[in-house]
Amino acid sequence: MKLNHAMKDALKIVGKGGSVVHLTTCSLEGIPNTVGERFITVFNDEYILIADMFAQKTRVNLNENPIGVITLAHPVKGRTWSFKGPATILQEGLPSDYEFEGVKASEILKEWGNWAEKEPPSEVPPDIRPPVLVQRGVITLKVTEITDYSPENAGNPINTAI
Amino acid sequence: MKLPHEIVSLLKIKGINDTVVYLVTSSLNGNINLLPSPYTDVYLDEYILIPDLFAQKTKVNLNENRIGIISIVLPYSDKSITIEGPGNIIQWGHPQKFRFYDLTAGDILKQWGNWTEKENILDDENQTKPEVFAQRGVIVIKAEHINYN
Amino acid sequence: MAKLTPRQKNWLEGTGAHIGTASKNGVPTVIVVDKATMVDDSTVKFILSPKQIQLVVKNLNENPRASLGPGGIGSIRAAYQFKGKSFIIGNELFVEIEEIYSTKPGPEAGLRLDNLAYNDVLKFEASRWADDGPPR
Repeated sequence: MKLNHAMKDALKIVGKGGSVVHLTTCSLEGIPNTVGERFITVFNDEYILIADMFAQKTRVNLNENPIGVITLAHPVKGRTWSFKGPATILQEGLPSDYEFEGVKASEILKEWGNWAEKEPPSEVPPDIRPPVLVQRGVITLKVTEITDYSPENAGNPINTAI
Repeated sequence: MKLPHEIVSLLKIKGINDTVVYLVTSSLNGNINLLPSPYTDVYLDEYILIPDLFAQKTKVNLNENRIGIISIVLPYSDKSITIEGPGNIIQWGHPQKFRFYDLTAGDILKQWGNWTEKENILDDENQTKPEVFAQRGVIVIKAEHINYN
Repeated sequence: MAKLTPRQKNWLEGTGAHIGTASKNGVPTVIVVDKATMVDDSTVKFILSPKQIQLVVKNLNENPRASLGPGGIGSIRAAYQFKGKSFIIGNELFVEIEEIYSTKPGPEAGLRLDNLAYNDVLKFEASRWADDGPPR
């Protein structure tokens, strides 16, 4: 499903006015994993992309159970959204016509396969700036469900027309 | 312990498509993982080095349980050996003076941090050539015990 | 169970967490709670709204495992992930923390902390962070 302008504005790197997010995945037997991610963008209005630089358990989980949930780490301005959907890691080396949920891997990798070059993390404070950025691929989540995570409305569907 | 000469020469970088080893690691609760690697080198006759090309479960395991076993089938024989010892991953971003036994991160990364400078992994002759080479660091196993099987 | 350091406790209490749970066949759900209280060195509790309970109770009844990523402003410095078993009593969610990981971007991403000696973890933290929790 398509994301609205407010969502697209939030799902950007911090330097462009966006937010850190949490990505939750889980193993097939249901061991969840929740990690903060800062290299994030929206692609074609309905895919959320995250650079795969340090993923370990996320990668193990997505390899066996391709589903994820993304939540904004800073739930300010009513941005209490939870984005859920099929997720995978698109990597160089996939066949040139490889598609995931309606998007071509090659298109995503061409634009976001080298994130540090496209959006250098110059705004990241020194104590948490990754020393060397080596990217293996792009974590790609197709948004199929958006719900509210505010305590009073947790789980309610969000109307993206707002 | 120092490795015997024949094992050192087996594991040192030579041509592409030479010895494949398995690196065996385990989670703290005993989930075993095998990482095959066609790329290995030996330092000081004691440390076996493998490039970390985004090893996943290996990394998860070494992050909680720092021990590894290298398993090799010896060429031209039906014998195999395993080499056991403490394991770690020396990564870009570690301070230069970060130490793992006799090794420092600065030294290891300078020499092996870009493995393609040592071994022509991106050569078309490489039967396991990766599309893109992205190296996060160097997996190190310190040889402390050898089993001949 | 894993013993949290003062810094870990301060961050978790101060910023709350994004709490991941999952069905027994691996479908994740996340709730976010902006405050937490440590019950002891290894157990944290969160007060949930009725809607939040409704959202996670089915998962927790079949699969008690939960993952906690500290949330809120500034929590990028709370570079931890806590994992453990959880249960609901009344309107409170308790998590007994069994595993602690560093999520600091770089070579320590994914490093398991709770199996290091406690004093080593204190030293590890003191050498990496200038704060002992969120700004007050």
